[in-house]
Order: sequence, then structure tokens, then C-alpha cells
Amino acid sequence: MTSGQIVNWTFFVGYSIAMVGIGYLGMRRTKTAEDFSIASKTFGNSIQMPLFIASFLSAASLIGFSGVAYNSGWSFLILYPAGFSVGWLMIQLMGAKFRTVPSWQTTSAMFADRFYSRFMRGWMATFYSIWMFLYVVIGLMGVSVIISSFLGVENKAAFLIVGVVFLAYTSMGGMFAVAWTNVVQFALLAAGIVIAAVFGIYKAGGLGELFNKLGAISSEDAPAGALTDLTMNGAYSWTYISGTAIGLACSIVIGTYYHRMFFAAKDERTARSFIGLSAPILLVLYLGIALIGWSARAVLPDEVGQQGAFAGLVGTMPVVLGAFVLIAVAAAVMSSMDNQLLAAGAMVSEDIFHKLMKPEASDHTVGRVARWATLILGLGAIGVALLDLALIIEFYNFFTIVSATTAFVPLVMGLYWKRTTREAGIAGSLFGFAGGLLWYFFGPESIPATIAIMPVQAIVMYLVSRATHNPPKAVIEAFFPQTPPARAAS
Amino acid sequence: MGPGLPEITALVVIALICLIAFADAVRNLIKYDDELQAPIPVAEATELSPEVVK
Repeated sequence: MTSGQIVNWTFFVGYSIAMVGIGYLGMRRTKTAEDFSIASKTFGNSIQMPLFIASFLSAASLIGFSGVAYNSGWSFLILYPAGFSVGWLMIQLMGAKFRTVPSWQTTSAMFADRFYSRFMRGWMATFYSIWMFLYVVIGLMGVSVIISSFLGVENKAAFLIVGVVFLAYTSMGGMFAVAWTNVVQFALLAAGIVIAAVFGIYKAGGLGELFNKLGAISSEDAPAGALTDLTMNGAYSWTYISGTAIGLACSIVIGTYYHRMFFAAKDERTARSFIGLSAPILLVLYLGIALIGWSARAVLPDEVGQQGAFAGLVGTMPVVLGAFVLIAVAAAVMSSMDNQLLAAGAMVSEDIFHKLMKPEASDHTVGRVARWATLILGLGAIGVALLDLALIIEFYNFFTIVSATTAFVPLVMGLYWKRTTREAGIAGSLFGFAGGLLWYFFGPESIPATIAIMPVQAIVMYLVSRATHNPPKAVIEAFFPQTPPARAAS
Repeated sequence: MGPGLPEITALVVIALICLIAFADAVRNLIKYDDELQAPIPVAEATELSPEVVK
């Protein structure tokens, strides 16, 4: 083991002990099923903002997106941050809608109540649980490469080390542990991004020099000037760019681990402000990620490639700084996976077990099922990640596409058009899923499924709503109150 | 060879979208603060009936 790896291990062990310790504190605070799932609605902005930012920035953001910036230059900005910013704005404006029913703990409960349908509860809980499970598997697979090289262990050992740490604190302390660890993880990953970006600029000889070098790069995939051009000199069509941005924006609006934050907020004031307050911070961090990728392209040899951009740049840093950035990567991956795993565990326990299978179950039983479901799903994710199947990546890509086509239009129409009926919700989500499936296998890659499927899906839902009976009065009164909710509550 | 006007414009537009989200958040913070600090009617504050207060 090299001296650098000893420093990395020291940082990593210290970080892991701190996270598991916070998980233990979370366990002591957790008494009920609602505590475990959404911390019984106790979080203000000081928790909600770091929770949202740390959950949003995953290993894919740090390693994957810096690689995209390395490969795509300035077009990275309109491929990713543009779509994200639209998504943040949309979900910020929708904040009040996610607080319609105070007892909501899961996204599937929201669908079940709005479409007054047990089918929607079961379908959405199953769909979202599988999606979140795949997210965790992919998160583990994605981060293992960099963690294994920095700690000097095999890939599979890296899965186990990262998996055991995040699973321990998540299954022990539920939402309290996830939120408290996310506050620490936010500080670590934000500092890591800033350090790596500043180091990259320094290595390139300053910001102006960095852009000059980037513009002068001429390679097989990028002729001179392409990396400082928005479309890479036309390599990306505007259909592709806008479709990607729309898909990303929609995926934020339907993100069940973001909905949970609205459910966990202590009041309307918090629920309607934490996303917007976080947006500028997130944008700055994404610019940092772009700078990491751009500077890696400008200063590292071509052989490094997109996949090795982040690790390559970090590898040139002084040992202690590199170790700190490694901890930022660990923080980024764990802060996303813990929330995703908890979301899946909450849907299995609350929607599938409690609401559909055992309505008479006590709160204590539901809480135990939530903890066990989280643990078993997490162990399953580690097991599947260890198999390292290419098929899993295919499944993940598939779910990423069909998630937006399945849930976005039903969610938005359900929350904003009172005439949307149960039948329309069911037909719309099944149509979107089937359409996404067909597009994934047979559609042209140049046209994203979101652009092709969602307009037709909206028309289908409109026609089915018109052809079926109005939603029950109680549903309309709950979701479309005559007076603003804040006034009605006072 | 650095970024030109379209690239800078794209960055400004993205920043503006984030600022709109930020402004909406701040507007909500102020709105809910105002509601919390709104003066309580005298009758309610003293727990006396309106007739008694008059």
C-alpha cells in the first residue's frame, strides 16, 4: 500500500465512523414509522437545503458529468444544467401541491389519493421501488472504480465497503440519519468540488488560458473550436439538446426522493422555499463540475478519456487534497443512494405492506417492516452490484427513459387539471410506460422519448377524462381548494 | 478561441432561471413571515368576546 493510499484510508475510515455514528443517533431519535420514513415533518431549511443539494449531486454528477464536460465542452451546459435549472424552477413552483394531504409519506400515496385508486398505489409503488433499487445498484457500480483505485482494493471490495457504510446508517436511523448525514456530506462534496475546480484552473494556467486551450484542442471527435461551441459545431442537434433538457427537467419533477423532502418539511414556508434557495448553490456547483471536466481536457493527455477525466485530474493533486476529494466522492454517492433506498423502503412498507396488504397493521409493525425492507433492498442492491451485469445498466437506462414518460404527465395533469379522472391516470401512466418501452427498443435515438411520447400521452389523458365520470367531490375539494391552503389552515 | 456570445448567453439564461426559482422561494419566505406576524385581532388576543372588547 502506498503512503497516498494510507492517507486515503485514514480519511475514509474517519468519514465512515462519523456517518455510522450519525446513523446511531438517528436510530435513537426514531420511534415511529413516520419518524423512519419522513422524520415526522420536523425539518426546516437548515436541513432541507443541504439534504436536497447533497441528494441531487450523486457520483454520476461528480464523475459522470465532469466526464461529459470533458467530452462535450461548453455544450455540457445546455445538455445538463439547463434542464436541471428548468426542473428546479418547476418543482419549486409546485411546492404547495406536494403538501395537499398532510399524511403523505410517499409518491405512490400521492398518486393513489389523486386518482382514488388502489391500482395506482400498487403500480406506482412497484415502479418507483424498482427504479430506486436500480439507482442504488448503479450508484454502487459507478463509484466502485474510483474508490477501488484510491483505496487500493478490488472493485468488489469497494462495493462492499461503500455499501455496508451507507446501508448501516440508513437502515438504522431512517430519515433522521439520512438528513443529518446529508448535511455533513453536503459540506464535504461542496468543498471537494470547489477544491478540484480551483486546482484544475490553476493547473491550466488560469481561467482565460483554460478556455484558450479548450478552444485550440483538435482531436478526432472534436475539431478546433468545437469544445467552446454550444452545439460542438453542430454535432448535437437542437432536437437532441432540447429533448435531453426536457427529459431531465421532467425527471426532477417526478423524483420520489425529492417529493419526500416536501413531505418531511416542517411547514409550508419551508416546503415552498428550500428548492429555490438551493438552486443558485447547485448551479455554482455544476459550474465547478464543468470546470473540473474542462480543465481535465485541457491539461491531461488524450489517452485519459471521458471515463478517466475526474480520476485523472484528482490523481495529479497533492495527496491530502486528493484524499479530501475522494471523501467528497464517497459523500456524493452515499448522500444520493441513502435517500433513494429509503424511498424504496418507505413505499414497500407504507404502500405495499400497510395500505394494500395489512391495513390493520400497527405503527410499530409498519416501522419494523420499513427498517427491514430498507435493509433487504440495500443488501439486494449490493448483491446485484457484485454480479456486475451489463444487463443492469440496460435496465437502468430503460427505467430512466420510461420514468419520465410514465409519471410526469399523469402527475402534472392530476395536480393541475381537476377534471383528470382515475381512468385517465391509469391509462396515461400505462400508455407512457408502454410508449417508452417501444421507443427504447424501436425509436430513433436522435429523438428523445419524452418529446415523442408525452404530447400524445396528454391527449390520451384528456380524451379519457372527457369520456369518463368526474372525479369524486372529496378529491376535487382536497386537491383544488377554493381558498389558498395556507389561509384555509389558519 | 474562447467561448463567444451564444455560450455566454446560454450561461446567463440558465442563471436567470435559477434566480427566478430563488426569487419565488424568497417571496414565499416573506409571505409566510408576514402571515405569522400579522396582528392578532384584539378579541382573539385577549380571549374576550368582541362585545366585551368594544
